[in-house]
Amino acid sequence: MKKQLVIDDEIIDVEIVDENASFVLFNFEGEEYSVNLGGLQNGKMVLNMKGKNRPVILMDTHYVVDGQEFVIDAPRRTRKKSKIQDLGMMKSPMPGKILKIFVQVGDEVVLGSPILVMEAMKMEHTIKASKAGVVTAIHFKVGDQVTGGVELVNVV
Amino acid sequence: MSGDIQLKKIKKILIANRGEIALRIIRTAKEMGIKTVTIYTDEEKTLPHASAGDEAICLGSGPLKETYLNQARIVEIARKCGADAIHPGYGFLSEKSSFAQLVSDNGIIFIGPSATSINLMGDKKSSKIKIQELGVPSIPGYHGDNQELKVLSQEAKRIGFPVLIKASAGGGGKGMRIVHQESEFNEALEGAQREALNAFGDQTVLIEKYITSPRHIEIQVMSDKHGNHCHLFERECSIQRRYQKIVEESPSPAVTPELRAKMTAAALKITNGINYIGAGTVELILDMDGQFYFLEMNTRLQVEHPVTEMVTGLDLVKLQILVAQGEELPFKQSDLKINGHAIEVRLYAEDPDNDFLPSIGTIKMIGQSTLHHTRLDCGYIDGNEVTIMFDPMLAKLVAWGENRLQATELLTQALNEVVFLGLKTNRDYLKRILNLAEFKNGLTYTHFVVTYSDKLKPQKKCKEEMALAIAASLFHSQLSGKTKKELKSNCVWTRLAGFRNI
Repeated sequence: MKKQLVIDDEIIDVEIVDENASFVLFNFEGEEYSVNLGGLQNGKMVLNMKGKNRPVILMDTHYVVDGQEFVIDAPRRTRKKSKIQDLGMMKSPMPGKILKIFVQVGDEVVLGSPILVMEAMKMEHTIKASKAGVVTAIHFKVGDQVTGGVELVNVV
Repeated sequence: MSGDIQLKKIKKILIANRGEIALRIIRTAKEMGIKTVTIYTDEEKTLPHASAGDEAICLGSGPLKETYLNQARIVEIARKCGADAIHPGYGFLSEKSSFAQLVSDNGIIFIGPSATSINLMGDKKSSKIKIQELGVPSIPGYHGDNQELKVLSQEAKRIGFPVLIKASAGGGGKGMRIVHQESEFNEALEGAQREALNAFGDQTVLIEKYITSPRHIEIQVMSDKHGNHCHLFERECSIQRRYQKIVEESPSPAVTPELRAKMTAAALKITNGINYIGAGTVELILDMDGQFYFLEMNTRLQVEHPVTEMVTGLDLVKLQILVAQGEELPFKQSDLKINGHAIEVRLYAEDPDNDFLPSIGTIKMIGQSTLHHTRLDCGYIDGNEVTIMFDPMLAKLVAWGENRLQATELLTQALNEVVFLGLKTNRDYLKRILNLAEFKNGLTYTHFVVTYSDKLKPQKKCKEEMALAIAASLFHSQLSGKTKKELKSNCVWTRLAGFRNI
């Protein structure tokens, strides 16, 4: 049985060969894995693979194996993540205040040009151009309080 | 001198702080049979410090100056609930001399040094003048009142680039800039002044020689009211990001016994010279050639005090309380020695792979260390919200080993267990630091994070671990609703679901 999973925002194909309550056998990226379920308690699961006991911490969609964190979800539950770079928008990384704006509408910017300075958590963050182009809109002025994830300027 | 000291047993402490340090103070107070009162804001009702003490008072909501920085209100609360002492923790009001004064004026013991000491050491300029008098070297620099651009830029030239611009009233890296050449000076100065004005309401800056391969070494000091001044050896806290420490250890791999003798003697010269009382930290910059310079003195308990506790076996909060009660330090300098090695890492809600940008969100689950000789000082519990209102530090994880390598390996293991699920943290990044050969070899300079930024980039996740995560998710989705619920939440109310009121 083929199954799609979204692991850390990447779609992964898994072929399940055999599966029951305490055993799974599956193919993933050209290799076969045979895993037994051992103990299960308090957000922890012990898996046995090739004779080795491997504890896994789990909570909701979070899985931690040997300190490495994975977020695994079914594809339908994952919203498509838009890449900020592709859209030519520079977004506020988190809530904060606009301290200084370096550009004006019509200015040409290159990748990495400082666009504005925001203050968040009492630290200054410089928002840099995520692509080269011309500034077509600046949505805030100095002193404005902005929430996280909002569009600050447009560059076309 | 000792004849004048009054002994007064403290019965109840108001903790003018929050988070992990409030919990840390409560633990010792409990062990000493002292009651505690904590304060919290509306937004912090579910945070552990709001309910871990014997009493808790809500400060409502509003900006910090109306809550944790509201001196008059905090003293009023202490009076009302009958607290005979106030512990300020670190940050907030811990280094405000006016607060220390207000507390003692109200007949309450301030667990910390005198207002005079705080005042003297709190100002970077006056502290440097004082320590020069005492014969402790400090870094060449300009600390003048004339803040004209022309003067500042001339002074920078005189000192010689690279120079460091710092906010006179500053701390935590706010209002700080390194300037490598003259042409960058004006812009950097403007940025530093702006940050200083925003953070401290004062844009006065000082300029110093920038030391190219420095280490940050600090000496923990402890003095009582009877004129006994001791040191508790050094901590090295060179590894910093955004000028904030993230890895701290004791002893320092760079400090030889001879150097230790010199550095600790310098620190004691200061505590003796200013008649210091209580716990403090003398921060020094160590150059490649073994020269060291006074940086500043912190007149309070430090975030990283657990590493000192682990190698000395002492409880620094307990010592602070004993000293505040007027007691003598329960040891002599010759009784103290360094036992093994301890390393602390600070877990932050931030994204190290995106310029260490602070992150926010709900902590779904905090992993606990199951290993001996590890210590987690954490200010949150499962389900707590991390907001932008407070410092993004989540917890401190400390490990002790017989030597530095053992401590490093144990800490790496513990970091695998102490996960904070639900938001971005620097946990994996801290592991990358500990695993770096340069760290293991003790090549820890203050620009470590920048120097090795390429080696500290995230590594591709191992395929085998990914396969195990997939297997776990397959088992997870198979589980019946009930078991899954049990797995998800070990919350007492969920477990009590089968009970009913009768």
